[in-house]
Amino acid sequence: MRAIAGWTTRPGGGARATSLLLILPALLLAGCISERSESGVLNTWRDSALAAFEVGKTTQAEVARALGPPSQLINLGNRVVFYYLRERSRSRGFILIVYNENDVRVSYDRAIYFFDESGVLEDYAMSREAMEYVPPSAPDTSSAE
Amino acid sequence: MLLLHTLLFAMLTGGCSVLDLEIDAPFHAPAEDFHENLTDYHTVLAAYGPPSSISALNGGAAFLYEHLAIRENQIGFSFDSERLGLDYKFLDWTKFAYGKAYADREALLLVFNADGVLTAERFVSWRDDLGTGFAVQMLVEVAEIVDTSSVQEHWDANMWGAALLRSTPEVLNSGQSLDLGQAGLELRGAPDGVGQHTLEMRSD
Repeated sequence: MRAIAGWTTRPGGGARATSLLLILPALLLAGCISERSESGVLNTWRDSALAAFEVGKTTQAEVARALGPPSQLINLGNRVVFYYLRERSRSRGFILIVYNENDVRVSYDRAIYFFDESGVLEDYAMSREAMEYVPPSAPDTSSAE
Repeated sequence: MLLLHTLLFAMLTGGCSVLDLEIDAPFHAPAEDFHENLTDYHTVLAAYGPPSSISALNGGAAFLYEHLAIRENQIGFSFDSERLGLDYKFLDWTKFAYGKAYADREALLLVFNADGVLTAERFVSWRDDLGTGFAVQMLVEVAEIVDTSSVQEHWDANMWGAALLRSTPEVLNSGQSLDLGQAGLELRGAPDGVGQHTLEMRSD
């Protein structure tokens, strides 16, 4: 504190201290990072307009029609599983000269549907981690003839 | 002077870096009301939601839930070539970095019979030492030094048809594949060249 106070009392010291204070962040703060990527199927199961599925009633065809093809279709012998998965990766960080940090978080929005041998819904579940559902925009057909 | 010393320190040191990677949401050990030969898969789904991966077994199925948090700590040094009397200016913009990584992991395996009743379950939580590394980098570069790719693999559910384009030995061994949901499960980070993977002749 004494050193900084001393600079401000010398002739021209104020300007020097100010320029040092301006240069310091520029030297120390080299940059920051923010990145986001997503993959997997569209998480239609989070669509609030989607009709509720009923255990013991809803069929494979109805689920496939409502949600589209699953990420994985698993044959468990006497059961069939539709497994839907959407992955989101978020990265945030900053690069200083003396200290750098980067934090990547990969999260998943999942839904799983179990069907019995006759193709009727036996049980289903969604992950606690949820991503906001964004309806797909219509394809741009303005340039099409 | 304090400011000048701080500035000097900033110029002379390459700095420390902390790289974090978290995959999936953390979960807790199974509630005490999970009982072998009593609890069914409906109860498990209601408690935990969809598993990270699922596989068919002879006369049943298995669920695997996983959570992974990797931390890599790095320390870097750079040198003032002029102060050292060296005529290598590039040293001023180069740092020598050492990194050490570990992963805090949780895994829950549940095995069900053909009726969907729990026959075995095991929860484990542990810290994995992922190793160390050394690198020469640009002063302002922040990148992983320790190779943690083995525990960062993306779930195969997102690979779609890409799984069919794997190398020939892997495709020929697909009957034994632990990635396709029909022949068992595998924890992230399991070595690639052994066990069920031996015939795939993976090089990494």
